[in-house]
Amino acid sequence: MEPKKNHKTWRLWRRVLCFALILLMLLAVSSWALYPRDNSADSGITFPDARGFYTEPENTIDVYMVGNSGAYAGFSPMELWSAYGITSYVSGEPKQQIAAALTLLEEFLKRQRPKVILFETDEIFTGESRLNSVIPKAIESKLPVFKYHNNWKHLKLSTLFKKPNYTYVSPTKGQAANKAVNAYTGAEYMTPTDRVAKIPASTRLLLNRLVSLCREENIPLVLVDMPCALSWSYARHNAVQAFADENGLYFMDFNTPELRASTGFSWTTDTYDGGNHLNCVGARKMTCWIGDYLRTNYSLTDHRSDEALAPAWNADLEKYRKAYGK
Amino acid sequence: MAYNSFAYLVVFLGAAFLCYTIAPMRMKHSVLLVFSYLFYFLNSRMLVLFQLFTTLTVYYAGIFMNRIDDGARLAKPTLPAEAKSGYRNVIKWQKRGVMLICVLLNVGILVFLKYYNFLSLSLDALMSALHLPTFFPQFDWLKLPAGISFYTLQASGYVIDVYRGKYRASERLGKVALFLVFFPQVVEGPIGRFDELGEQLYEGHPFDYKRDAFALQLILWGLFKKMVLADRANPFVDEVFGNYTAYSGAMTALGALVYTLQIYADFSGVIDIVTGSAELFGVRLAKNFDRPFFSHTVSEFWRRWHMTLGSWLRDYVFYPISLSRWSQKLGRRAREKLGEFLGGALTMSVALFAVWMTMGVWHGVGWKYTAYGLYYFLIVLAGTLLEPVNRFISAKTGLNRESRGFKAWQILRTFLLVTVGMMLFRADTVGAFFHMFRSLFGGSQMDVLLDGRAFSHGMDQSDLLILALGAVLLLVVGLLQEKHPDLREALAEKPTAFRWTVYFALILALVIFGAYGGAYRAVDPIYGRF
Repeated sequence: MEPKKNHKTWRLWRRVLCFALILLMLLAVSSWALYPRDNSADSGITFPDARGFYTEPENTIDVYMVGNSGAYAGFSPMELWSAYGITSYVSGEPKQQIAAALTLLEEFLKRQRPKVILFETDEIFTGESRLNSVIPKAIESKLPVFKYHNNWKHLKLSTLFKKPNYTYVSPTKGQAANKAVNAYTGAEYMTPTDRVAKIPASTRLLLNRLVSLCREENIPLVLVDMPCALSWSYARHNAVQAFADENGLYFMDFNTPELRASTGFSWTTDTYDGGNHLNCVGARKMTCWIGDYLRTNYSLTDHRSDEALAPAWNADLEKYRKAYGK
Repeated sequence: MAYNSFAYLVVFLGAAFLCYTIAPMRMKHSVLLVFSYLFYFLNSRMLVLFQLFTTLTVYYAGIFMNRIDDGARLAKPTLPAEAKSGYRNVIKWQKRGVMLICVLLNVGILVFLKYYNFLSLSLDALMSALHLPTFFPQFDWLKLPAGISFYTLQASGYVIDVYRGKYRASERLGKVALFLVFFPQVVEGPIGRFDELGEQLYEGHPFDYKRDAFALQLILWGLFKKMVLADRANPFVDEVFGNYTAYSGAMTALGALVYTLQIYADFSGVIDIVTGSAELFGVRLAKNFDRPFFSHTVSEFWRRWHMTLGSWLRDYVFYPISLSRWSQKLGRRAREKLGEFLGGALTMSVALFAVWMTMGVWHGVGWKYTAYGLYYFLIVLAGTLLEPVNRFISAKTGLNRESRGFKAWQILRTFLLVTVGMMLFRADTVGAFFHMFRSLFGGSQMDVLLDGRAFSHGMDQSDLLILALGAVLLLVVGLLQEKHPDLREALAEKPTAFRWTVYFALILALVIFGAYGGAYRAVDPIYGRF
């Protein structure tokens, strides 16, 4: 009876394996079919500004910031260009998770060789970087159908067999600028404490991956946190500072009273939604401070006299000034 | 941990299945018990203590009643004949006391946790209206343990069954505990009976390929209903019901129809997932849905929708009331005064009222749920009272009530009545429901539907297409089930190429059309809130 049982078991496993292989093939084909052929909203990209770097000339961006809405509101590539001639791009997405930030960084590095990478740290504590998303995100990166499955709504047979043609350009280089002023009038939220917020284990894994990716690419990584009265705290500052110290990284936390003071930041004039995100004025102050730090500590080129780059960037700067003023 | 989440389906269920499969037979129930408490703790943290309290009170109440019975059995032969009847009464009252204390304690906890804040607010409002001082404090810290409405009914059913002598209480605490906390069913049911589930859960089942393949198919079908249909419908439903004053006519009607589809796909989808989960361990849970939208009457609908709640209410509310001495007495008097038909209807309506009110308030906190129960009570009562009138009309007009056309009309009528009920269930308040119901006959808003403006309110044309195709698929599957009650067996007999095409199509439909990811908000199961 034993050989019969073994044969039956083997047949069973063969059937399971066959099913799994065919399923994998179908998912791979679906991934290919549904992968966006463009970086615009029409192609199913939810936040096209985060992916506007696809249309930037290759190897022209020197500074890259990635993070959640704190990043795209608080960092202004146009101000950085205006003050220091440094080219930069910010890929921010609302409620971004670190896994998504890693994916964006990997995509960015296929087209650009930045000299510095800035990571906005708010999403360490606000993204859903837990078991429910870490493994699925890992699967997503290998089988993009799980990420871009909604693109069936934008599927066009005419582009199915064509190579990607990226058309969306972000004139603000990813920044979601906002002129409005809506002051934060609440209490001081950065009262010094010894408490250290907990970084979830799965988030820490992804942070370590971010650090090692930057080391592999030989690109310095700097941690940044934009002022946010509604989600940040001293305990979170302590947690990220500890991580930065463990990994030899510089952490500029603009929430600390000292750094806020040195940037001239004011909760009365520099936020558009009562303390959650910065407006243009706040973004300029943070960016100028960051630019000064970068210029002092890294060999970054002032491209304002670069004939290949300057005309396009100056034209975008003019549009930015017209829309958002100085 | 939602039943349709990656963490549950792959990590938790996968680990539980693996551990259960490799555990020796005598340890399998322990594996289920450990994973069940782990699941409960992950969902409710320290509120697991309420679950444990219910388990212990129910277990010991059962043991106490066993001891009373054992004592009675030993004592009876020694009693003189004339004392035996009186002694039986004493035993009955002792057991009744134990049963009542246990049931009232656990139902009391449910009532307090679930309804205290609402009742205190309502009482305070009444006191205010009467210019009296208000003194009922609100307790914002009151939280509901997961599935408390479900496991309390299940626990009460067990204690009542033991009291009635349907079976002896189990002497094994682990068996009772597992019956009450079994992780696939603890949050949303189905509401189980100990004589059906107890032994199944405890005896342990070896790996069975066919059984487990069927279980995975059922989970897949449940995920399709929940994630492709229910979750996709959610943004539009939220929009129409959340901004109901902006809509009328066709838009409100569409919102009500889409919600009916959503709640059916959501609840039955999750039930399929949990039933499939249980089947992986060789446990067959009670059926909870039986193609309810094929019903000819509202009464039939409620015998096919959330069947375990209906049968629980029948066995533990309707029958105790309708078979009680005072009800029988009332029935006799009513028949004398009002005649056989009306007298019988009046008596039955008392028990029915209790059933529907219980059903309404069990679903949630708020006057809307009371109105929900009252709505169905009135419809069922009207159906009963109007039956002689219907028969008279049919006889006079020669209408064939067995004809296909008439049956189709009955199904459509039931569907419409149920959809209105669902509108009440989903509306924010009773006032909102009445506004929405009136607006159905107000401005038509057909133009909003036809010119496409409707598709910027949480649902675009592609979403509507998926929902429509999904509804058709549910109908087709329902019709197939009329011919083949066990569709999975019927499918298993087909050639491999056909079967695998169906499975791959379902998986791809779930992956591609599922409402998950960055563009969608995760939607909690509707019945998981109870």
